Amino acid sequence: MGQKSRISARKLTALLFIIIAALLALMILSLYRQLSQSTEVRSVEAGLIEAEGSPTIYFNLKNIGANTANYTYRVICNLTAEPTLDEGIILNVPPGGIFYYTIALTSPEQGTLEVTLEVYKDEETVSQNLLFRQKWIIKG
Amino acid sequence: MQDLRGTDNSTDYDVSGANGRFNIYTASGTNGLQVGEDGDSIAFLIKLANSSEPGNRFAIQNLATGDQYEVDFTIGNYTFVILFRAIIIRLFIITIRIGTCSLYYKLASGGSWSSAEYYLRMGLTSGTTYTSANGNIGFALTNATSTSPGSVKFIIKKQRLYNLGARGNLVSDIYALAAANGNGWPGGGVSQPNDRCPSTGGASWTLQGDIPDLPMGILILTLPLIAIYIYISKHTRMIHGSKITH
Repeated sequence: MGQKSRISARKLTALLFIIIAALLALMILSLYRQLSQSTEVRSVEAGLIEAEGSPTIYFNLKNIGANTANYTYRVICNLTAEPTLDEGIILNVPPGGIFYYTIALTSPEQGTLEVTLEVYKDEETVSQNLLFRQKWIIKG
Repeated sequence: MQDLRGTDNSTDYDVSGANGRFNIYTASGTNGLQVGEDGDSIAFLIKLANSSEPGNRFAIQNLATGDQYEVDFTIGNYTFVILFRAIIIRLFIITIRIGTCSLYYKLASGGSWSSAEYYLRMGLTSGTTYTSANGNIGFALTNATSTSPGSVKFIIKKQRLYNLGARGNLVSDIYALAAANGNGWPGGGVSQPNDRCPSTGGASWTLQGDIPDLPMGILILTLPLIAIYIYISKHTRMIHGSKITH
C-alpha cells in the first residue's frame, strides 16, 4: 500500500514537472514569436483613439536596425491653413529603442477631419525613405 | 508637490522684451521649482511670477509660438530633458493654441540628445493635466494672476526613465530654463534663455521610491510559475504525509 502511494506520488510529481516544462517552453516560444514578429515585420505601430472631443493619434517607432538611426515624421491635416500640421525629426534612436508619439486633436464641429501620418527613415521626406503611411477620417 | 531646495534664486536675462511670462518665481527667497512623486511617476513644476499686468504674466492666452519651458535633470548615468513648447496658429478670427511636450535623454558624460517621447495637444486650458496616449509623459499649465504665480508642470513615468537607462534614486543637476523663440530641442537653440533657475548649477533631490529595478513584465510572468510551484510542494507534502501515517 505504502509502496503504491509512493509510486503514484512520484508519477504525479513527474507529471506536474512535465506540465511546467511544457508551459515554460510555450512561454518562451510565444515570447520568441512576439519578439521576432515585432523586429522583423513592424517598426511602426500606429492607431487612433477616439476620445470624446479629442481624437488622438499615436505611433510607436522601434529602431529594428543594428545602428542608431534618425527618422522624420509628418502629420498632414485638411482643416489647417498649411496642410502640414506637425513635422519633426526623431534623433538618435538606438537599436531596439522606441520613440513614442501622440497627437491629441480637436474634433471638427462639422464635416470630417482627415489626418495623414507619414514616417520616414533618415531626415528626408522622400518616397524611397517612406516607412509608414496611414490616413484616418474622423467625423465631426 | 514640495518646494525644491536650492531653487530660491534665478537669473533673469530679460531677453527680447515681454519677459514677464518667462519670469521664474523666486521673489524673497521663494523657491522657483517644486518636485513630487507617487508610486509610478515623478513630477516637476516651474513656478512663474504673478503680475498686475495681464499681458505681461504667464497665461495660456499670452503664449507665443516658440515659448519654451524645460527642466533638465540627471539620474544615474543619464541626463534627461522634459520641455513644453507652444505653437500658436491663427486662422482668420480663430486662434488655435497648441502645446507640445518632449522628452529627450543622453549620457551624462556627453554625446548627442536622443528623442524618447513627443506629445502634441491641440487646445489648452489652465489647470488641466494632459497625458500622452501611453501615459509616459504629461503636462499642465496654470495661468498666473495678479496675486498668485502660474506654473508649468511635467509628469514622467518612472518605468519609462528606467527603460531609457535611469538607475537609482538620486535626481541631481536639476534646473529649469524658460526661453522665447525656442526650437523644441533641449536648450531651445537660443544663445541665452530668458530665465534660469537656479542661477547656476543644479539642485538635487532623492526619490522616496527607487526607479524600479525589476521590470513588471518579468514579475507578471513569474507569478503563475510561483503559484504552480507552491501547489506542487503542498500536494507532494500531503501525499508524503499520508504515507507516514500509513
